[in-house]
Amino acid sequence: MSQPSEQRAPALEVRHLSVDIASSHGDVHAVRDVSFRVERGQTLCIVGESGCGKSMTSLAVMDLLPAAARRRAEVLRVGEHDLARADRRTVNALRGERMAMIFQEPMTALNPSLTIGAQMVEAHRHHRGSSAAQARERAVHLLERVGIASAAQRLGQYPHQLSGGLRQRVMIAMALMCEPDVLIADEPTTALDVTIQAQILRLLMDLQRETGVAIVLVTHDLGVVARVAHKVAVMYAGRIVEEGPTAEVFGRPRHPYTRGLLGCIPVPGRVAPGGHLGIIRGTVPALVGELRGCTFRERCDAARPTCAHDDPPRRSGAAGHAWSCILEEEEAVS
Amino acid sequence: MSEAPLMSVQGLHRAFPVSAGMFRPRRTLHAVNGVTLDIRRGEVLGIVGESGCGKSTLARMLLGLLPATAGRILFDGQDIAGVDRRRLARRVQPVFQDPYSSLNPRQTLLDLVSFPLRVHRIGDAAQQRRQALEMLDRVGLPARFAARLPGELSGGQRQRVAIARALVMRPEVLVCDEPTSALDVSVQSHILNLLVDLRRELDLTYVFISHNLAVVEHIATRVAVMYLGRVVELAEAQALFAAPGHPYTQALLASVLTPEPGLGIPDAGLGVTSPDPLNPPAGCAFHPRCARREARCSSEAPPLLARPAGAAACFFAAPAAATA
Repeated sequence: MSQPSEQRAPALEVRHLSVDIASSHGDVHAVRDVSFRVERGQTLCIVGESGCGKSMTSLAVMDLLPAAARRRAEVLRVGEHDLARADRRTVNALRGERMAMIFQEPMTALNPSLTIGAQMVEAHRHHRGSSAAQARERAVHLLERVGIASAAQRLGQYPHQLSGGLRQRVMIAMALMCEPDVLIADEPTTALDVTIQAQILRLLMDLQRETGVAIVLVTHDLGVVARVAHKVAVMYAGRIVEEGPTAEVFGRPRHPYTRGLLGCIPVPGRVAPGGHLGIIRGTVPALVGELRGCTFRERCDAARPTCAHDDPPRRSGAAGHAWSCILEEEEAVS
Repeated sequence: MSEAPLMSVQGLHRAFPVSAGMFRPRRTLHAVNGVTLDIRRGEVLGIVGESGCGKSTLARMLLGLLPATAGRILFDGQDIAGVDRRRLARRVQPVFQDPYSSLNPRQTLLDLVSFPLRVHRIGDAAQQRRQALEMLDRVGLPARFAARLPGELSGGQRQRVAIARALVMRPEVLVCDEPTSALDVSVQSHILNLLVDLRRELDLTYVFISHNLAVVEHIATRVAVMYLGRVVELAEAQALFAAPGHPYTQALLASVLTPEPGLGIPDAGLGVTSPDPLNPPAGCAFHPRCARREARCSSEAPPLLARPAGAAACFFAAPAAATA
């Protein structure tokens, strides 16, 4: 629901976010100077492979980082609140009410010793100060909304009594109890069958249309990204290396990593059955110590000597499409 | 076509007793519920279906790791129930999903890969070492890797070790159960390319189990679709992906999200209720979710009915595509 009269402040704005994690080998620079914004009613997909920093980025926004991690951010704004400067009470109040998170494994978020109803009602009463009856009514409504039959009875059940797909729905319903402005979903459908995945993603898109919630969806699945994202941010080695509108990034990928990634996945009609898929040689670099130049250079066919010393320049194309690479637009097309 | 199948699965059943609670009667889960199919020499037979459809149970039975409760599996015409497990292991080997848990973390790669040769007393120590090194090299891990431990490797490298270990005895069949599902896509493509090359060079036959339909479409030559313990469709890969016959296969394929922006999320029309494997519906097990069901579907289970380039267990299967 776009309301043109509304002011143009994004639902979520992150500027210059970095996360370092202490390890026995020194600090791991898991997230390095990441900035993005998500408008109301829009979905940003953060896509990348294991260790690229996509999950750490989402946990940093929610202030749920592990104890060994340190966060630095210039701006972390949810609506009018800047979490980078807020005290713990404000952050706790915002989390769960204005922003909510769903995970790949629903049991990360669900308490196994409480009934579904108790967990859903608690959050609403805590944040909204509602009566038990009001909160219960909303819980039943949301469970029905996410496609759970006999919702009232489900409130009395424990998480272990539900199948994986149902738990995922319950977690989504719970995240929506307080009508958050921002929903962060970390691989929400990765453990599910394709048929259930499609249902859960449709559900999220429907709910977004109804409520205008801004969604940050973190995933490694390029199929999911192509179908649900308004904007895409491709992460590699802690950085966003390419970003832009979904059709631009998929239709005219500029960064060699993005192009490599798209070439790796089997797409019917593009590679003959039993033929060779594209590959990206080498492995992800360790993100410890001082990192100079482009971290993709050792896996990149287009690398030049300067890539080892200089940070790759940020280039921009049409409609907010941007990438960080020495390659100019014309060169990147070839 | 007239060649005898390498393996033949005939009326295979596997049931597991399931305890529903202290005072409830024990129930039976029919994980594999009457599967009949042939595995032809040199093919890549893809097996697809949702979690709980019985595909992994079938894989373990093909490997001789789990006995049948009814029916049988023939290897080269001989019932594997009567064959010594070790003898079967020389001809059929597994590659599992998780390369982290299937490799002993305290053994070097050389030890890991030569272990099957030692168990089977194939060759002397020098020959075992040479064969293991050769196979490691073949999967892309040159000699400098031989003394390393699995913990020093990436996920893709570990899966290469698992493949080398499976192939070191020169089996004929590789049963791959979700071999790339735990890997990143850039690593997955390396492993798939390797499997494609190895099959050609070593004349292998693959049974390739995956929930990732795009991967199966890429690598399989023939595909079996399973639903609640049964094969509901079995066809040449190209024909199946071009024109699926069974309504379940159609829904499954319709749910695949290809990386094409702007198409949105498809509605496969399956409804939100998942089937209960402990309490499968009468008649066609898929009928409660099926848009094309008729009265007879709830009472009568359709057998696999022949179609061009395959067969589908549905009374109302879609017409096959015109054969090219």
